[in-house]
Amino acid sequence: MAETKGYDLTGKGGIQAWSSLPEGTKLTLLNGAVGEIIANPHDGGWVLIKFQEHPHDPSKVGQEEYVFFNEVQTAAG
Amino acid sequence: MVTILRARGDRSIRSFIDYERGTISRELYVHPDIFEQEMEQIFQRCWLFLGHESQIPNPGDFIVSRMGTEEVIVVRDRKDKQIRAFLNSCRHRGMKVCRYDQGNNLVFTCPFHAWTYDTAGKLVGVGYGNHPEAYGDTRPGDQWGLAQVAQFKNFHGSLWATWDPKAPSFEDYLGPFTASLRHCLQSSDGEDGGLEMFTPFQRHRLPTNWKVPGFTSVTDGTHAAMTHRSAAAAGLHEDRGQGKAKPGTPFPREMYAIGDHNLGHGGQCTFYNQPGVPDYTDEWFEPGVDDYFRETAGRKAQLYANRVLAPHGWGGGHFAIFPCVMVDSWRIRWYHPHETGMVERWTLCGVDKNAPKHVKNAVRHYVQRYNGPTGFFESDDMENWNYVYPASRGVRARKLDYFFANGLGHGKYDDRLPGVVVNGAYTEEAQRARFSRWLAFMEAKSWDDLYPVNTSKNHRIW
Repeated sequence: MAETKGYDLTGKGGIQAWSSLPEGTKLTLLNGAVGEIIANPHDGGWVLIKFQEHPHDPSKVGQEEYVFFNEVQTAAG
Repeated sequence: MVTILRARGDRSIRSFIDYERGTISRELYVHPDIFEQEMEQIFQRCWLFLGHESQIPNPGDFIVSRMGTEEVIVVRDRKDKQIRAFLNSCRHRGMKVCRYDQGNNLVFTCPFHAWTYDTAGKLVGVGYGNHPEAYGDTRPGDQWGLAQVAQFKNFHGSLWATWDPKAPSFEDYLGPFTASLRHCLQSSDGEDGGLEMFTPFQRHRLPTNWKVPGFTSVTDGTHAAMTHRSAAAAGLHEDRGQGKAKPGTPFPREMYAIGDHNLGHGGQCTFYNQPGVPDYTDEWFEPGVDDYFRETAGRKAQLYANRVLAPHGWGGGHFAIFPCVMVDSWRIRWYHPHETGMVERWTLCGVDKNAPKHVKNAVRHYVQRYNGPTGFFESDDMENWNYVYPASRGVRARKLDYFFANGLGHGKYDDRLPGVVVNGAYTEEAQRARFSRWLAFMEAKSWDDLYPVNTSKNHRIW
């Protein structure tokens, strides 16, 4: 079983970590939604995720959406 | 009446052109008010060349091109693979959303406030878009995507756009020159859209008005003998001065300078008087290159066995598409105005996309000799253009007129290109046609006044 790696998105190192997050990384957003990164433009601001869980809007599960870095609570992959 | 201010007082633009003498006031090249009006009346309305599809073959590929003084992003969408063009200006505060000449992107992220657009131009994110203390129900929607050109056309691999939704179709805009552009974009064996362009391509910024190269010098038959004499002596042609090229079997044809005074296009012209193609003539220095082109020329001869060649390209000569594109076989050069006295010249050089590597290399080396920083021919031209502007814009010099009367009154219409004036090969018929159309644009209120061309209106000068 593959070991889950947590990413520290805080501080100076967090900016670099965010820009380099690989596809497949699981993000938990501040609103409780969970999604998996399907593309990272490496612009330092955004990643494209596909929602796996969404506590406030279940219709978003399976949909793709760009997520800004300050909307994210944790990243693990 | 269209008027400009401060340039020798208030005058109609028409009055700066002397129909009888065949002269054009230098004010039209040096006055900022004229330039500003050109950007609005011409560059916002005309079909403009953006680039070639071979520059962006993959989903997400983009180039930054220009339309007049403004940058546009030309991008192949990741989802539907279609090519679109957008103004390079964030809808939020106007920042450039792309600061690279070319590349491959997932999104275009504005570095100012992180408004972010996908490769179809759609706004897909704004910084703090989901923040509870930010936008809420004022979050911008789909109408805040990047500003897209009004019309876009992929014509046999060449990419064109206009900001004006009322502009005619691209084919109608080209009129009788449609077949010539198609021919110039064929590979040497006659396959439609058979070219790919060398990248990165060459750009030169020149301190001169855009019309100096774009109007005065495009398809200028009389300049080469003197301007390029030294380059010819240096042996920079395909055969590198070996004297290899020998005249082939004469092919019945007639060569002219032509101008479409209704649409503004024109240039050199070769009317072929029988179907088929002229015999291939060996001309390349590099081994094996003539073998390739002789073979493709043979295939083209079969293709054209019962067809007459278009009058431009592949030995027929080059022509200009109004307002600022010069087209030759496998080569497109165009001019981007920046300000009254500053223009950028971009040159795309192509080669058969199916050619073997040694042929592509030989052609690339040739175009570098021709165009590049270490090349000669284009540098010769640019030296002239650089000095024309400062020598024309002084308070004394600008009171003079430019002479465009070479061949004035000797042109004739020819059924082989309906509506186009045909004149001697070394006349300035094409230049006069550009100014005929230029004046029509500068006086027109909209495309309703410009197309279909109403010849009963007195908007032509020649």
